[in-house]
Amino acid sequence: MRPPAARPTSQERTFAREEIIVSKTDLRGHLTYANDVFVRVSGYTRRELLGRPHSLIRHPDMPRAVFRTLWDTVQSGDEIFAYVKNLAADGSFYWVLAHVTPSTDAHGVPVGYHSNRRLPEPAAIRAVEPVYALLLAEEQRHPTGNAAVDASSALLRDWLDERRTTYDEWVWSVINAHEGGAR
Amino acid sequence: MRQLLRRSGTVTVVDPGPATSTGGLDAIVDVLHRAAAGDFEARTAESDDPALDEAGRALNSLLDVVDAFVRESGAALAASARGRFHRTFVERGLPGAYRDGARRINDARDLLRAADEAATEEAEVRSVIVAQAVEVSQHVAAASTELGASAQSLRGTVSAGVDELGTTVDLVHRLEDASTRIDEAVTLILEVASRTRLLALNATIEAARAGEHGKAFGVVADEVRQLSDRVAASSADISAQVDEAQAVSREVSTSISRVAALIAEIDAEATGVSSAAGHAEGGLARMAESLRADIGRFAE
Repeated sequence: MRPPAARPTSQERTFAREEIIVSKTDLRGHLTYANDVFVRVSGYTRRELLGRPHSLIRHPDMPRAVFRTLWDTVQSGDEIFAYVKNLAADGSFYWVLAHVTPSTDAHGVPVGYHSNRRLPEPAAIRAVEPVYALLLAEEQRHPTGNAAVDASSALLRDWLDERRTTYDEWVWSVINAHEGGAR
Repeated sequence: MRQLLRRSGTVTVVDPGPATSTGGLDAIVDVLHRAAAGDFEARTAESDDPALDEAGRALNSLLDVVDAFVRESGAALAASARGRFHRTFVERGLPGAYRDGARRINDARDLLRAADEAATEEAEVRSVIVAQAVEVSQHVAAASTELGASAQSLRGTVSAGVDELGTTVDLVHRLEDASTRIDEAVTLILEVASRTRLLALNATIEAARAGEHGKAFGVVADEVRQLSDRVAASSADISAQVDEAQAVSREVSTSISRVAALIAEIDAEATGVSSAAGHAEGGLARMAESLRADIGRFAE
């Protein structure tokens, strides 16, 4: 049974600082595992989640350029950290600091992806929100999804180039500046 | 390196199977075996038996935290090894001993970063010193070459001075010879004057004996005597002056010999400077050039 798409509300969900939300997907991004924290915070049942694409919990406030960066990075074999606003089953939202890594078999062949998500500091969310809003506004100016994500990805590159930084350095500058509890 | 980078944060699955196993205790045991073999993809599924379900959930929680720790520690250490020190081990969400382990990895990363910063700083200082040394050795080589050339030129000047001194010594010798000849001529003149005076005296006596007729001759003879006296006096003067001229010539000769000795010393010094400063084996210019080349290779 596929659950209906949730209508976003301004209600926020949260989880404990000691918890991590864990999920695994196959190479297509379809969920193969969700831990109890994921089930509880997302508001879906495990049965509803498994086999569904991870984009089930994608929030409309999230710019697609971030997910493109995320997929490009993990598909090239690297790890990535990203602040992500997720959509729960009841339309409420919850922010996470996601760490996504590839899983490979004994021969180094990728078999899927793994994501650990931690509770981010409000100050870190305030630091990334304006950047995401900028990218989202760019995406909304384009009629098709592909053109929108192309344009916002170019904007993100330009924005990083202007600051003489990379996505990796930028996200770590936010983590190291605001996630004091991360250390 | 790229291969290493690609592996950062990945976890290798020994025997990839389904992420979740369904069933009862057998499934839990299967997941435990897979996890023990290093397969962190394995998880248990929900069970209808409450006790088995609880055991499965606890096992999944354990695997989740071990999985997170393995992925994070590998990636954090790989990042530090590559100089990506901004990538820390995110300690949040990890309990107890896992958090302590994460903290130790972060401490190690801090030490690596400090060592890296110190090494970078040392390298910067070293490159500045090397650049200065290269510049100084270039200056020394150039100055030494110039010094060698100056010393060589000085030798030429000294040699010309020695030649000029030789000419001067000849002139002084000729002057001494001329004085000697003048002295001989003066001696002859004095002898002539002395005999002329004697003749004049005899003539005066003979004139007096002739009486009135010899009076005029007596005047001439007296005049001749006075002339010979004046010649004798004047010759004595000349003789004294020639003696003095000869004494001065001897002093000049001695002085020139001393100058010649000094110039020979200068010539020896200039030869020494020329070979010490120049491009010959062991010369300063050659050593400075070889030093510059060595420092250049060190800096590469």
